[in-house]
Amino acid sequence: MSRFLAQKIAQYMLVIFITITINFFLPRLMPGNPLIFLAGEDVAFLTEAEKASILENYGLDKPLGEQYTIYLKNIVTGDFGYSYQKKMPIADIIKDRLPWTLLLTGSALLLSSLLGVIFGAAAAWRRGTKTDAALLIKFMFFNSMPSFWVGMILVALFGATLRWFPIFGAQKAWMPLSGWPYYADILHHLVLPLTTLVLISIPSTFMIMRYSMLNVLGEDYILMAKAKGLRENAIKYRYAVRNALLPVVTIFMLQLGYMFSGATVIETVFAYPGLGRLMFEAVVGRDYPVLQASFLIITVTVVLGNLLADLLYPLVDPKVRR
Amino acid sequence: MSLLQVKGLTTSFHTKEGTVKAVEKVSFSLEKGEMLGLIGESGCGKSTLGLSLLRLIEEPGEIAAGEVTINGVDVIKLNPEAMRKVRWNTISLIPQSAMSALNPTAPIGKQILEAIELHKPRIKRDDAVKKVKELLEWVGIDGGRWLHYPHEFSGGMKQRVAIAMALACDPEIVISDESTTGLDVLTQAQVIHLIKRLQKELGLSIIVISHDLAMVTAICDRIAVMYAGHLVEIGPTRKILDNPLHPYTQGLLASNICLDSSGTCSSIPGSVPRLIDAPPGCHFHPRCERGKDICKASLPPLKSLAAADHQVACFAYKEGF
Repeated sequence: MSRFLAQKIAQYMLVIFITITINFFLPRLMPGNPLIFLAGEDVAFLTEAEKASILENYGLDKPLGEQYTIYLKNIVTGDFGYSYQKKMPIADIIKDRLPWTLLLTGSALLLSSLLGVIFGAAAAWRRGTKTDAALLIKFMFFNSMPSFWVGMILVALFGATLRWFPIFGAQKAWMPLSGWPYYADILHHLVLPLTTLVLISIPSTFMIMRYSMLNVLGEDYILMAKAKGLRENAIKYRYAVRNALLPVVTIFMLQLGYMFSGATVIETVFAYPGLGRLMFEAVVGRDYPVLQASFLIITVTVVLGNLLADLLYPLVDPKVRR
Repeated sequence: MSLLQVKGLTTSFHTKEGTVKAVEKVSFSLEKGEMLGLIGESGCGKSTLGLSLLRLIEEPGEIAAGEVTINGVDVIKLNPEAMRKVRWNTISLIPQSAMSALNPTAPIGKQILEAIELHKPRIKRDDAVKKVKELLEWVGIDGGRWLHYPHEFSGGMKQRVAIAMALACDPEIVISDESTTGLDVLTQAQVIHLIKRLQKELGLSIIVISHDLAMVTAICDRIAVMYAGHLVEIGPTRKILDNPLHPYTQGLLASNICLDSSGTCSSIPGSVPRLIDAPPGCHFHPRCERGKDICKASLPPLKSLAAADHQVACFAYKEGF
């Protein structure tokens, strides 16, 4: 087991190393002068001496090999560079944004997976009935809606018209709170973006769970469970749901990695201060160092998510245990 | 009184094309300690009959008519909760394919244990586990492996686990549904030997459902032949082999290849009808060499001829045929 573990971790470390290397070379392969990326359109007004000083400042006058070593060293020490647009170290910006993104995407992933599994199992168990058809139609509907549109409808209805929930931000910026009111305020701000994200994420889990459960219900061991005289609930949960969960768990694990990249569209619609919105702002403001750092975080966390999936999957599927 | 008495059992499936009677007006009995072989081609209703005895027919199917009396109780009339208690306690099943009949995410021992604890709620955990290990040892599997998962066993071992599972609650009747299909010849022999031991050592009554004529005739006391949902002939194995009466049974026996015989092998022309458009009268008449007008008009009843224990459903044994 420990040898298997070491092997797996080594494999994934190699993948991460390659990712970092590509992330280093990609912007350097782009056509044009790096000064445009670093100084923006102001570059036209700079003197040669100023240009040289900027390049030196960023270490871009050094040979490529040395730049690469410095880049690796910076990443290991948590230095992702400096945001040209926000005039702040990128590591600090990410430290600010990450908790909000994890709060939003993490709770959305948990909720949508849980609800998708419950509804998917219920629909499959009542295959062909009105309940099944109603659930299927409902989730197909949400599946075909663009996420920003669902978000805007919720904003218009519950935010602007009914005024039940705030429509932007993650907390009241103008009013420092503490204790319970502080958490209540955060939850209050979370409701609309979270609902939107859950609504558009349930359908995929629902579909997979329903299909998987339908397959399992046709298996011989379900018939055997009935022949043994087991009660309906035991057959449903211990046999059907337990086995139908396997593909859902795989999908869940893979999505874990994507949690860190945030939900760009939803965060933008609700002006939620997460990593997704940071990326949107970086694109609009041509803040290349921030984009580069974001790409790095996304790829590394997706790879780590896969590693986690590899390590945890044996817990649910005895067939892949060693 | 017989241990199991089946009277006029009819199982229908309501499909979009119409109602199909997969089992129609089947009557037979099973004595204590007896082994009955149920043979016939694929799709003739053998497995449906087996599942009907356990009342495991699912939508769109239903048991449309008949009685299944076990120890004097008609189980068709029992409410679902009472029927649940009959299952495994009185009548258990060795499934068609043990490869897929075991839950892949639960250890084999726990699947046996859950049946024991379900039907004997007062049993202590230690005693139940001891019983699980004994059952596994009885079928030739190391009891220490009771917490292993199905995928850690070979096909033949899984089939033996399924047999151990069928014995969990000391049932009186065991239905073996094609339980040697898909196994290699040597493993088949082991499983057949084991099923025979259920009868000899434990005194169980067993219904062996199979299309393997040689196997069934080798181990069963009596044989019942099914064709297109009907029971066409039933009698002691010796009598069926020496003196098959129904033209279908005769064809079935003639098509059985024997290595030591002259090498002749015949087959029955035609194939089993789709039950949705089964021919009227005797379902076998389109393939029967002796068919007459009466065979097309009405269904022959199952009747005793010379011996009371040998019955056949064929008009050929009617006076003036």
